[in-house]
Amino acid sequence: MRAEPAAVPDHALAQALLLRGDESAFRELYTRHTPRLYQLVLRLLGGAEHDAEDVVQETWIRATEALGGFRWEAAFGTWLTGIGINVARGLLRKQGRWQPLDDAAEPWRPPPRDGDRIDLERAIALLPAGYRSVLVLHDVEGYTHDEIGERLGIAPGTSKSQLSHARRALRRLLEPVKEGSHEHA
Amino acid sequence: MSTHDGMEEDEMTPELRRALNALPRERDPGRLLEERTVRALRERGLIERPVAGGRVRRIPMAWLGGAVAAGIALFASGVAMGQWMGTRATAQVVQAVQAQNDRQAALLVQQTGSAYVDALEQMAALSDSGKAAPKEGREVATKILRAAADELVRIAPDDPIAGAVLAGFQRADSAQAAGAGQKQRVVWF
Repeated sequence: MRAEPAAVPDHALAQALLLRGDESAFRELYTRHTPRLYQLVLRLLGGAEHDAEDVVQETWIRATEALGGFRWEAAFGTWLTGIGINVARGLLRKQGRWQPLDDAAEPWRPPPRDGDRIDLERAIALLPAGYRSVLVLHDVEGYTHDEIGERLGIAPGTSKSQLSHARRALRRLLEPVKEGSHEHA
Repeated sequence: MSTHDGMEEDEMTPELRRALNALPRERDPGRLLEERTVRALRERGLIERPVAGGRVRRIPMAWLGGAVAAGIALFASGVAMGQWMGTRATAQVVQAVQAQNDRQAALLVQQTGSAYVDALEQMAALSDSGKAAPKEGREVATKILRAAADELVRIAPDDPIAGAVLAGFQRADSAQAAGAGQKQRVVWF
């Protein structure tokens, strides 16, 4: 039985990309890290596929440009994801879909719905961008409130309160629609 | 990313928690995005298109470092050999080479190579002490290094180390010829 050849570490691929502009090294890094990055930004952007593709492309451009300054204190994938979150947030802001996350703001209430029960992915996509970001990063990706605060430029306490609002809103969105009742107090 | 904070779990029903955990973490965006991204990086000069029709030779950085060290040793041996031939009986050296006495030849290289490395160390010490390293000396050292690599390639055309050293020089030549407008790739020794 032949042993699988050892995978080239991210660090070595990044060095080849940085020093020689090695395309095959870039493609290997892309293949390893893009599926996770794409899924994350797609959720952050509420399922907008074209926007998510643009964000992934821009993320790789920025990462390749900044590779020389990356100190490898974190994993390459974590660093790349951080850039992706920033790019996604920038796009949402540019589109006017990113409202400042504020403890004092009135919690968002889902609008009354008609029709069938919606699935979880759709419900997440319906949340306001701020709620969605905190919920996705915490409850799906496993970030702590400190990490979310750092990524989104908010206080950890704000992340906690936004998560609380986001979870309530998500539960309401997932509740079965009762005929003749659109109450969502 | 690390662990959850464990807060506000009361807001999460077990069903919702399970459903969130079951969400996919990865998704393939398709091949088109990869090609689009590669093209964008090429346009910005961040990656280079592989040589068409030819096998691209990938030289690991460790090899390149070894190649530089070996090149310097080669240069040292050349200079030392010259000194040796100038100060010792030329006939004796020629005789040794002709006799293909590998051990004796290696000994000569070792002795004379040390002299060359000492000379370079003194040049480096000049730089470290804040004085400008003699430009002429550096240029001569580089030229002899290249000549030595050329000779080694003549002796052993498939030698990867000498080939890598020459390739480094050629890249530096190309970058210089391309002018200041283009991104230069310089091999530092």
